Amino acid sequence: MTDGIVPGLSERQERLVTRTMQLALGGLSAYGLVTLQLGMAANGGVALAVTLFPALLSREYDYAMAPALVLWVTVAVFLHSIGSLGPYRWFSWYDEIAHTVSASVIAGLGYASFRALERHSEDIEVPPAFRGVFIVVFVLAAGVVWELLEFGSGRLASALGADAPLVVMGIDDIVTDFLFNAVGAVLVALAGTDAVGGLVGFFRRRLHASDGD
Amino acid sequence: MAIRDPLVNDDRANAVVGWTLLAALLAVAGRSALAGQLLWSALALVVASTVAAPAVVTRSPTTIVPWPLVFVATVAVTVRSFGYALEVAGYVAVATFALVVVVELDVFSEVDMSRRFAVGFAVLVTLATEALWTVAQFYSDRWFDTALLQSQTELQWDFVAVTTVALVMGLFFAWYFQRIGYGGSQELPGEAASA
Repeated sequence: MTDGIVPGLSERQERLVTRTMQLALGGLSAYGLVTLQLGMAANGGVALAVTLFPALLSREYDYAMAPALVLWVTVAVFLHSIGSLGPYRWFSWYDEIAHTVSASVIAGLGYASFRALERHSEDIEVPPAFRGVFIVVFVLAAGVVWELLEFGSGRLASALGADAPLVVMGIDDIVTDFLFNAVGAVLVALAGTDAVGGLVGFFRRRLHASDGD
Repeated sequence: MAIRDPLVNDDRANAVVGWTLLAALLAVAGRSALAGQLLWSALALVVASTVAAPAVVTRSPTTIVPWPLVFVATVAVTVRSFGYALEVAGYVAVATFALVVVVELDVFSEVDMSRRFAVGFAVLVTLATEALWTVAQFYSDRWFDTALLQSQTELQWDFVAVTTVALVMGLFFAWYFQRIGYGGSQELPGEAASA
């Protein structure tokens, strides 16, 4: 049995946990549809689509993402989806955990893209400390871009007379999000970059392919 | 043929203009401090020391970024400290500061970036700074009874403004650095001829 990256879990168990959460998200989406709660249906559906993205990559580009990475992404969107059912309102710490986890996913993505670009391009060469700084800058900036998305989608929705799909709950919510995004980024910058080694290789191959060599 | 900025490509002329602007920036920092705007005085000082740092470290007064960067930073800080266009001038100042830091990392340190990457990274740094600035304002309001953040909508419009400014400044300086052949890695063979 192949050991997974997550301590105590084999790769098979990592996949199993991922599937269970995907099933729950699918169930949530179906329940929303049946009971005509479209917000819930969309919430579950989008989350499920995100967790299926690695499978699409493997189909289209023959890249098998490490099961632990798929699990990591799935946990992040799962926490957000479940949170909007109630936990966000019930527990003040829930939002903070969810943001730390999803920020770590964004950090991993940012790091992998940067590393791939650095190895691919002859023009970019940085000392290791810079990579950590890049991760934190990338995640903080992504937080602002995310706020823009929430703001934009909210204004679009109100122009169309619909409910805002992404609810912003005040300035302190925004600030807490930024803070815990930074926590997730720092965690990855300090400890987590090895986990995305396979993803770096994949992005790099895609860059090569897009150059036509 | 690449068009060259006669001032920037003459290190000495660039340095003279750069240091003159820097002196103006210091004067503005002093004025803000006397007017009790400590936060803005501090920002002007941080920008000024960042511009001056490479020259101090290398002990060579010509080791300074192209003067237009210092110019935009000085104008933005000056306009801000005289109380005009408060928000936009502030964003331009922060965006220029980010560009100065990234350009200096690229040109004067062992961090090597392509020109496009450097400018893109400067945009990210500007947004990241806005995030930290938001957090700082929030806790300033909470702990020191200031009223920097008024409403959520206002803050969200701030994000829109800062992102727009960062992108416009990024595009402008990407174009400008390309034009004067500054920053980025050494020119690829053939690039100078075709540019």
